[in-house]
Amino acid sequence: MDFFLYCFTSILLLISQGIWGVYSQVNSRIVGGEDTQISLWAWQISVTYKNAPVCGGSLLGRQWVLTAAHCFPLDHLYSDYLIKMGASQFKYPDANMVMKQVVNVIINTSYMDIGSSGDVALVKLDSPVAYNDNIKPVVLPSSSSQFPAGMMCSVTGWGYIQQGEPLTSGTLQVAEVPIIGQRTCNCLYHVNPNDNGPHEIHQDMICAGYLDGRKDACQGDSGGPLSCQVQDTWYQVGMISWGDKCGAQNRPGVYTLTSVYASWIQENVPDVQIDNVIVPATFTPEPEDGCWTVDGTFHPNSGSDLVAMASLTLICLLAHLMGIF
Amino acid sequence: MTRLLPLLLFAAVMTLTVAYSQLSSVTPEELGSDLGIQVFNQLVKSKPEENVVISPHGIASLLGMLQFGADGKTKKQLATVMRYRMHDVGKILKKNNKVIMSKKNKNKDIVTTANAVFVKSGFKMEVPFVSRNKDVFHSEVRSLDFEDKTVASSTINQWVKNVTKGMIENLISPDIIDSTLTRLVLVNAMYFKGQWKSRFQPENTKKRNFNGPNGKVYQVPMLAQLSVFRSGSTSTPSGLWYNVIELPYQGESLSMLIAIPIEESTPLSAIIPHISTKTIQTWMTMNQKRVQVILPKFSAEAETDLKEPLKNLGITDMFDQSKANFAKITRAEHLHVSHMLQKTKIEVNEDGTKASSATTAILIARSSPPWFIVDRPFIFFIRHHPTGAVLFMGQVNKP
Repeated sequence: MDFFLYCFTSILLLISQGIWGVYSQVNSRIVGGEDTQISLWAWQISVTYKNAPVCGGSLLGRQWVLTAAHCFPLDHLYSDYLIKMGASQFKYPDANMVMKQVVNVIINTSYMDIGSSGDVALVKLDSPVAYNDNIKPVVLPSSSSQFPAGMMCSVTGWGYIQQGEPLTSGTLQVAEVPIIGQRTCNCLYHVNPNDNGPHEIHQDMICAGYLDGRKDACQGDSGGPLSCQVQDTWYQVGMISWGDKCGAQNRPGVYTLTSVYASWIQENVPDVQIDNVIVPATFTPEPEDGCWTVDGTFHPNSGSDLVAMASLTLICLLAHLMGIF
Repeated sequence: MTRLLPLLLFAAVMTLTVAYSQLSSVTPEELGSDLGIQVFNQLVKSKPEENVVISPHGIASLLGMLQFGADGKTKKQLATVMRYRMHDVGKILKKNNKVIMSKKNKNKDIVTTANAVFVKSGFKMEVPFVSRNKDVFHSEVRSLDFEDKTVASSTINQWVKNVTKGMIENLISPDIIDSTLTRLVLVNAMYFKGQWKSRFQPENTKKRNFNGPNGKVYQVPMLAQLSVFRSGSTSTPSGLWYNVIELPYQGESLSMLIAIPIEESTPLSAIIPHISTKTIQTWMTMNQKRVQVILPKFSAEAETDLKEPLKNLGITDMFDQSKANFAKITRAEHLHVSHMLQKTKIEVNEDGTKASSATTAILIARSSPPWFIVDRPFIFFIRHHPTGAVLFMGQVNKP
């Protein structure tokens, strides 16, 4: 009877995923985002290098910004960077815009290269910022906090609206994306891997997005926040790190989990606000033995699982037949 | 009894698209390519706003073939300007010509060079001239009746068309041939079809503005790709800065190198005189970095008369009826070079073997990369890295 149920649910899922795929081909901007105002995401900042925007980031305290470690390659000088905040766009002059220089950057010691663990950096500003409606620090979840798969969160940034296509309007973009768990995401990245082998989703990473890739972060968004609202508070759950081509199928955006680095951040940023957040897992649990892909097929985690699935289906079919007669 | 006879020279050259390596000492290919680059310098002086495409290596090959037949001051001028005597470098050239043509280094970049001497039926050439050219340049000898100019020119054109896989047609017109006086036509043809090591995705090709000289703006399809390329900035001794990028072909023995002035106010003519094979060698030491490239999809074709530029460089006697000395081609008649033409074509498109996608970890990063945008007049080089030979070069003012 258990087998029968499993069989039934998996067929149902197959259908719903298929429909899902058909409905979803609208790509406009972040990828699939829309214009928003900085006051709604007052912790969002922009990182520029030699006057060109390179990354996003978030304000943690009066003098500290959280961004991605890869935004600061070894051969770049801190003096070539500027941190801009307080405005929805930086293309045209804006009286609310605040610009700070960088005096120090602390790169997490576990960071090796793009795609490795620890893609987080703490940037110290040359002077403290004054908070206002457009400039406010974000709250970070504590290391014991949990955000379930399927929860809708928001990704923001001034990055490309498609692979190779910069945002021309200059207005901050937001896109709502559901959280995808680390295990499921790792499974997805193993579907049709690149020539050099699949990219691994490490334990300090989380994903967000859609199987069909309709909404995603892109180049220029790195370091920016994945913000999730619980009751009336926004928490920065993830920090934009990497992803296969922006908005690609079965390749959700990959984020660094901020909760993993909560204590490390607290050691360095005295005024950071860290809360314990537990979101009740009222969302559909993700399968443990594999993942559903955009075309509605189930991709098991490994070769042996494939055999198990095949035999499972067979038994299931028998059970079904027996049920009829 | 001796008459003054014109000798025709043609170099037909062509290419499709746009790889890397390192050299320590100067090869004869580099010396030859440097001469070709100097010819290019001469040419662009009078055509600063046109598209100019030549094959430096092709020019050197043709002059090399000619040097085997020259004697006296004619030979001396050739050797002086080329900076080598065929007698000394023949063996190296032979070896290097093989390397350039090599298909075995699992390298699907195909460079075909073909050399031929079309000779008037019944005309006797000195044996060493024929054998040396065959040995070093794989040059074939074909006998041809020049009396019917139309048939003769179409025979030559057909040969060129064949070896360039149809890319170069109508190299010579019948009126270049003199039915009574023409004794020989020397032809060098080059064909290169390169596949980018990292292909451009056709769906990323978009129409963008290309800012031509004199404020003219052209809407042209431009290729786009985010990948890891050797690139950087450098300057001329006079302090004019320009950007350089290397786009490797599959197999990596060939690359296209593009140079573009940083300041829009810097004309190409200000940086071109600074460039030699040595300069190009220094470009190859630049670091590889993640960069978004925007490059026009273009095709450029040019037919070039090499006579004046070569004369300006000091190769004068061979064009002069009274001074030319080709005693090593024949002692029976006095020959001189009446024409030396080169036709070169290049096509740049998306074709490549592999999608770069996110095969390199660095490409998946979501920080924005620096952009290398080729939306203004630029110069390009197709370099064969193992020998340093510049197979093709050009300036593009209108893609």
